[in-house]
Amino acid sequence: MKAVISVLVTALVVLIVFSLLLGDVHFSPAEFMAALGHQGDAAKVLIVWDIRLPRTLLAALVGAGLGASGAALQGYLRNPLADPGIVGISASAGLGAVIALYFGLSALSIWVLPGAAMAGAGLAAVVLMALARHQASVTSVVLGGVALSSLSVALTALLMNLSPNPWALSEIAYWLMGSVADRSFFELGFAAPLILGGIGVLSLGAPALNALSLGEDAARSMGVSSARTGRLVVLGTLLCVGSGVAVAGAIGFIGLAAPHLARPFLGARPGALIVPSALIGAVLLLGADMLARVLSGPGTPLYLGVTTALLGAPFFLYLVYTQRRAFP
Amino acid sequence: MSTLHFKNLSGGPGHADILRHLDIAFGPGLTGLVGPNGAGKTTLLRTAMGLLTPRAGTVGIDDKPLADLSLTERARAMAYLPQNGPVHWAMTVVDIVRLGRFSCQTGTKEDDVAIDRAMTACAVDGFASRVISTLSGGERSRVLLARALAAQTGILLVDEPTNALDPAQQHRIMAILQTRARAGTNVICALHDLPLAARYCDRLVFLQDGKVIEDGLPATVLTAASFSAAYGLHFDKRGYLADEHDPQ
Repeated sequence: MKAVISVLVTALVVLIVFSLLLGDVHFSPAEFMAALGHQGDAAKVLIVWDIRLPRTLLAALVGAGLGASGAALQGYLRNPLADPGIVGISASAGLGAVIALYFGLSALSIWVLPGAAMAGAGLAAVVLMALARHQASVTSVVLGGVALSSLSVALTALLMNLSPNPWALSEIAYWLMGSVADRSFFELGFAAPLILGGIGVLSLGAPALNALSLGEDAARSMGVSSARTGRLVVLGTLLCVGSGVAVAGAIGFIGLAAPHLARPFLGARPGALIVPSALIGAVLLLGADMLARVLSGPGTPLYLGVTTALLGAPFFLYLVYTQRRAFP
Repeated sequence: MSTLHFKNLSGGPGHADILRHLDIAFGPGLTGLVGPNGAGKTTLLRTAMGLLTPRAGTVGIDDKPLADLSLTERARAMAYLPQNGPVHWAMTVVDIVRLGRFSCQTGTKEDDVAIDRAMTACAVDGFASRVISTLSGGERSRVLLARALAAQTGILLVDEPTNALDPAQQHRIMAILQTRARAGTNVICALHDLPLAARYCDRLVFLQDGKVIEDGLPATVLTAASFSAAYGLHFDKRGYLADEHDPQ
């Protein structure tokens, strides 16, 4: 476990450094170190601190939140196909943001767009927690989540359909494709405490997730409250994914793939996969963002959600094929 | 030694009253719950564990009502092995047995000792690092039983642990339960195999339609009369089923 965590942390640090160096403006090692220390060319200091650093850290943070919540959801729902999208929190957060964009509320304050996304995610979380009360089956949570997700997607499509002009429509469509470009320390400051707090909340439920692997009856007989575990997972997912969608839009596959990448190295105990999946998610999303930056042409940015889906889907298919005998 | 008692208990899953005005106490030893499908064996065990809330009456451990105990207190008093319990992930044997310590984790060597003892008792220590999905049905059953034993509770509830096992594995599982009962645990085990129940259990409780129709030593409970009452089967003087064709 410790060796895998060490490798992942090292990989993440290396990627962060490469991400800070990646871009049209080249840095020598000395220039880079000087810019990091707020020394030397003012333009290069600005590029590192105001453009590349927030983007890099935000990609890593959002990826970490998606990875951790994917691992927790797969454990709670005891389903290797579960990801943050399946419980409807991503889609509801997206709907909240789209409502802010559609009515032009996002122009009122920089807090409105992420706030609206968090409100949408929070509403979905309230419904999910109501479904997880008492001794409710996890199936009811997943079915409720699927219904919420479908409703949110339908309402988002309706708003796009009723969009007053092509500019508003394109703004919504591009936002939904997901991106961490042009983000500042405001978005980072908004998302960081929520995502890190969310990972902490998910980690609180880790021992119970291990016990739930033996079914709800056995877990309850061991002293596990399925309802409390459900609340922790929903709250953690709300904090991780709601804030992730709020600052970076809809990004798929990271939450689904990260736990699958962790299992061959760390075993199948769901609780033990939360932190490693967060690190894998951070590495994956940061890597995907770097690739999107390399592949983007002048004036035609490749969106992060598109990159993760394009790379993630075939890779996930390969993963399923190679591990098909290991699935329960 | 803990005593589990049911007082005027009625209830079951949903709104159905599977158990009806049940008054019974379970003390030390290996008690077998026998009876036809739907008699209430699993309902009794799940109600005892607090997985089902009774509609009327009470369940208690010694002088404490179950309703007054927290989930953790219940788990420290009773372990439960469900029938055909699932294992949703490809977990290793030792990871599964370790889950038995969930409610009583001390973080000390006591946990390791309990886990080792349970694995040795169930003879699963030889393949501790194997993944559960690679084991045979008998090995899998013993691993899940070891998980329940690792909790080292005074009461052990086991629901049809010998289902779908070959005779040798059935005897192995029952011998483990008998050993644990003789060491002072109050073991209550639902069974369909009556010869197996007669061979290993200290006491048999015959259930039918949520009521106790016989209760006592196996020899006194397993009679032609109780068979007829519970299963609707009738035997002639030679022990053959009454409607069976006699080849002689």
